Amino acid sequence: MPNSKYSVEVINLVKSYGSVKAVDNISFYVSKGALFAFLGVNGAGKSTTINIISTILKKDSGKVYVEGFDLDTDAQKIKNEIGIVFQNSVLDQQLTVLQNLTIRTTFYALTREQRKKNIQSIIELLDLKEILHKRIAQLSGGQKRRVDIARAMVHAPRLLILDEPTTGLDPKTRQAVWHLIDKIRRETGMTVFLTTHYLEEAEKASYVIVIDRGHIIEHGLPIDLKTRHSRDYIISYGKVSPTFEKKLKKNKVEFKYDTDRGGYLLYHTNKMKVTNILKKFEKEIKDFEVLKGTMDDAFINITGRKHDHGNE
Amino acid sequence: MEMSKPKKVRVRNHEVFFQLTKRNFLVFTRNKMRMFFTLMVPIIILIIYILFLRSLELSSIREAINSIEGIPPIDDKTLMVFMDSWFLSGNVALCSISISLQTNNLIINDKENGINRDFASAPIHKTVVTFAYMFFNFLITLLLCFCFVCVTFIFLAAMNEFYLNALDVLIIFGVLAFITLNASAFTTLVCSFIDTDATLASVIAVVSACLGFLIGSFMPLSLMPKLMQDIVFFIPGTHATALMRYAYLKSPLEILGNQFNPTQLSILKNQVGYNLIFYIRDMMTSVDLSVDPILQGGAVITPDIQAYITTGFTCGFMGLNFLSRKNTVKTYIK
Ligand SMILES: Nc1ncnc2c1ncn2[C@@H]1O[C@H](COP(=O)(O)OP(=O)(O)OP(=O)(O)O)[C@@H](O)[C@H]1O
Ligand SMILES: [Mg+2]
Repeated sequence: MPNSKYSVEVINLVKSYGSVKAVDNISFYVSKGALFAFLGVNGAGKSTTINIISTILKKDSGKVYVEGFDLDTDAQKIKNEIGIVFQNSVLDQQLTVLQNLTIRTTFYALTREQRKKNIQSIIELLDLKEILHKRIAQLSGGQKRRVDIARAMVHAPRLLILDEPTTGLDPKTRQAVWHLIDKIRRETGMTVFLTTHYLEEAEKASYVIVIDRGHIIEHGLPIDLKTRHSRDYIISYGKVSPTFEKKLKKNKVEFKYDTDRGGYLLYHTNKMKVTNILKKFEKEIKDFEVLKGTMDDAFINITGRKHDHGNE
Repeated sequence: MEMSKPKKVRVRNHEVFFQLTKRNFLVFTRNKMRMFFTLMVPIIILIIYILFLRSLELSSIREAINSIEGIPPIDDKTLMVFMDSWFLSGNVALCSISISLQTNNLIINDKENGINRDFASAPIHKTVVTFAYMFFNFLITLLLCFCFVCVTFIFLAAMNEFYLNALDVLIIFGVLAFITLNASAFTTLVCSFIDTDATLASVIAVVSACLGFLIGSFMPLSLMPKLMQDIVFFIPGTHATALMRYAYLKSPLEILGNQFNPTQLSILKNQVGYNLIFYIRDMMTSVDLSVDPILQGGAVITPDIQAYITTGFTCGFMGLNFLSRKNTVKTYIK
């Protein structure tokens, strides 16, 4: 039975394309009102999962509940509760923004007045007034993305699903899309489920799941993932030095030489705080930086470790 | 922010149908070049006819009709009326199928661009989407064929061969709508099984190369072996062509037919007439154009029967479209 706390419940979901197991027995929950992030590299199985939840792709097995409705029996009701921004735009390039939105509103059981009102609200919320009568083909990438999101929201869904909403956009536009998502959550209270490649974006989520080759390999609050999988470290710039390495080993300092950056990465541990390391190796460390662990490190650690296992 | 949620799940189908038809129409007509080139195909065929085929076909019919001893010959001018009306009407019928097929590249584009994921994820019926495609196809094809029919009228008038009255014109447009609906139902069904533009382009190439001959647009079916005539009888376009011929030739035959001796008339009707012959006997012998087809083992299929058969085809295709709706709105993830 579905739990009313959750917007989405996925239980033991499986989907294969021929011999490729795109989604391999994954389970997760999305709390109502959350900003839920699905993190994974290309081909991890993000879109596959999203398309199944969106009712447009058949699953092989498992259970999916959306807003309390069972995907197997109530797919039509689920369609009413979700708005999807697909990885590739589904807007009609030849039509104007307003035409695109107007056509989409008729797909839902709204009265004429309600449709008008919804479109009006969306125009205000997503700031579409200036581009309303432009054709989609004439818009910039960021503007298109805004209209994509608007299209998904014409029926005031309770769950907004965005498949890589920021991929292919420049950093400034990515920021703008994030502001938009924040605004939508603030003003509508919608649950937002998104996928991304970018780690710094997952940091903004209320919950993160890392998926790789169809498996969930890590999940938790962004802050937990960060503390679990990334540590503060020092870069000590300089050439490879066997004597330095010997001394590091003797003092049980975890290290690794990074050829890209041209220096040793010295990791902070409980026994060896950053300050201790610096004091102890005063002579050897001449030019250094102390760096905070980022989500990127966490991601590399999580997926990298998994990959190593696979190769063993 | 104030927004309304749908109260029920069921949408009003007729409204979705109307909006989708409108959407298809707007998306398609936005590309004016595509419309122009779609219409260019029958016009180019017409030009080829005027430049090369016209005199060739005239000499063949002249020889058949005017070589009977003891019967006064018919002048070229009169023969030309039948020849031209015969060819133009056949081209109109062919046009209804080829334009319809080309117009349906919208369906394929929607599949390829993944736009129909939008339809699939909304609480609307695939049947409505499918029939909106079909109706849109009907409207565009009708519109473009209408333009072409007007071109044929202008041509006939310019040649001083216009023998049609107001009722005939009305019948021509009625038949056009009738056969266009048949073509739209057929091509929408075909396109439900096609997923890429490249495949559609090959299908269009094959169809434009063969169909004109198979349904008797370019060449009288009576010149085909009997067995072949029976085979093409099962192509809906064959009946569409015959019906359009009836609409174009009825008045000229009534007005000018009395100049012909009965033998000549029978040859004329066998070559450029509107009846279809379905051969039941003597399948392996070839057709003698100067002999009544009934005496050669054929059953005459008159326009009223052709109309029934076409109606049957149309209904059948619509039913199959319903069954194939999942293919028409197929989504695949890239
Ligand atoms: N229609 C399909 N046919 C065959 N294999 C597919 C199909 N769609 C996806 N796959 C495979 O399934 C796996 C998961 O794909 P999916 O699109 O879900 O990944 P993704 O996480 O969304 O990746 P991306 O970040 O590139 O969008 C991949 O190995 C992919 O090659
Ligand atoms: Mg994807």
